[in-house]
Amino acid sequence: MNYGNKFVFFSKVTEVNPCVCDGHGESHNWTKQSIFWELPYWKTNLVRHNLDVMHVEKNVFDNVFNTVMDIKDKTKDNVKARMDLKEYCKRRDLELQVQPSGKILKPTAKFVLSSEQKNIVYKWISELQMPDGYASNLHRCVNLDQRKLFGMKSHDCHVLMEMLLPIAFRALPYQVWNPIAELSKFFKDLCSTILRVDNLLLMEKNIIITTCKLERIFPPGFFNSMEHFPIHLPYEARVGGHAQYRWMYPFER
Amino acid sequence: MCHPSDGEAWKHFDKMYPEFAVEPRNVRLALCSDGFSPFNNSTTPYSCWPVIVTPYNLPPELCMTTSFMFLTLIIPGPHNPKGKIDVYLQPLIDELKQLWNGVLTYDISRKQNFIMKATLMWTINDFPVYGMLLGWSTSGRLACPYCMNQSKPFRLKMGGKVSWFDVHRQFLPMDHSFRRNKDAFYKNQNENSQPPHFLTRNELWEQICFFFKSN
Repeated sequence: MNYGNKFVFFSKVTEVNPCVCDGHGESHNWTKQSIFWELPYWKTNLVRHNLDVMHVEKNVFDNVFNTVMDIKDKTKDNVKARMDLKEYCKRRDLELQVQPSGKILKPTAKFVLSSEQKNIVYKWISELQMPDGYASNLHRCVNLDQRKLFGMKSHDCHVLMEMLLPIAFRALPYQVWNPIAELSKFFKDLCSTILRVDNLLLMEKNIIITTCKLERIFPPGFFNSMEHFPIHLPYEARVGGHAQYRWMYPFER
Repeated sequence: MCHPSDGEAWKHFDKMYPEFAVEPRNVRLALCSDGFSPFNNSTTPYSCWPVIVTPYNLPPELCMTTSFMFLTLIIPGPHNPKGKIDVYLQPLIDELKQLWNGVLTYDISRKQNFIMKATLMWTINDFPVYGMLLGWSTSGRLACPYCMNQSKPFRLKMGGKVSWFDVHRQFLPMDHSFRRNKDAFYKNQNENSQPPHFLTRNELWEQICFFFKSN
């Protein structure tokens, strides 16, 4: 093909709204026929696009951490989530209560750490000593006064999610801690350097149960699409191979 | 498993195209695209979109290292290309088609010419880009590109967001006790539906062939 006069060949990028066809958002979500279908072998590929393990892991970690630590404005367990709770679940103990004075009381959930426990966790994270080059200096990411984590790179989330989360949340009741620890173990297994097909099949079954356990604990507002994708990750790992060769860390650096 | 070549997708590809698989010098590629802002000030948002291609015919420790990432094109900003990303990808796809048919290449170790072919195995992308490349918009109620229209998330009345609460019970085996639990999940509701059926490639093509290309 002659690329010398490519300005003649390729059409100009114009501002055209993506065609919204009948039933978009109801029965399907297609917006277009992707250009990759022009490749003759695209149809026979088993995995065409990869869910990025890195982003899924980071978002799941953010959600879990912010909710358990009850970080203001970031927690998924906010007033609206509690209002929805009444609509969809049978959890009396978490529903909002209107007090005689007219104030609305938000009962403390059992998956939230108490104030002292939070202090201990932040102090612990700030004092952690990591091997050189393993994670960024977590001491700099902790604000002990405001009790916040900030400036975390997605690789720090990766380390926290896989190694530290089960230890940090040890103070939670067992039935809450257990699925969180399982989730952490799941990501650790998924990112390990040697995968076995039979293990992946087992993980595919276990992650479903883990997610169901989480559903029993957290309110409906907690579950966005990112909590759903771990379900599909073992399948992709089984078909496509290692997460290390299909994620975006190398590209982001 | 310690390399993508151990995966099912790789072996399946070999089975489908034996004439491609016999030549070990044929290259398999992955494509990655992501937005980043080249100027480090957030006051004027500008994002450009590099599209990077990386080969997999390498030992595991060399795969995905910086020296084997080839920047093929940069999509200029200042905005997200959204659905128009296809237009920018057109030259790349043309070249990939050409590579699939084979191009004459010089093998330095054997000092001879040979016909090299290349194939694109998959794309690697974060979630918004996934929607752009796949053409299945990854937002809203039907965001999951695996379950497609068979999952059943719902929009929360108060929060206004889409919730994926109680969509995972349908993946459980039919006799699991969680399926009969009416208290812990969605109230007063059993789960009787089968796990969603993932579309095969032919079904997928049947759905998609009616849609327009964006260019």
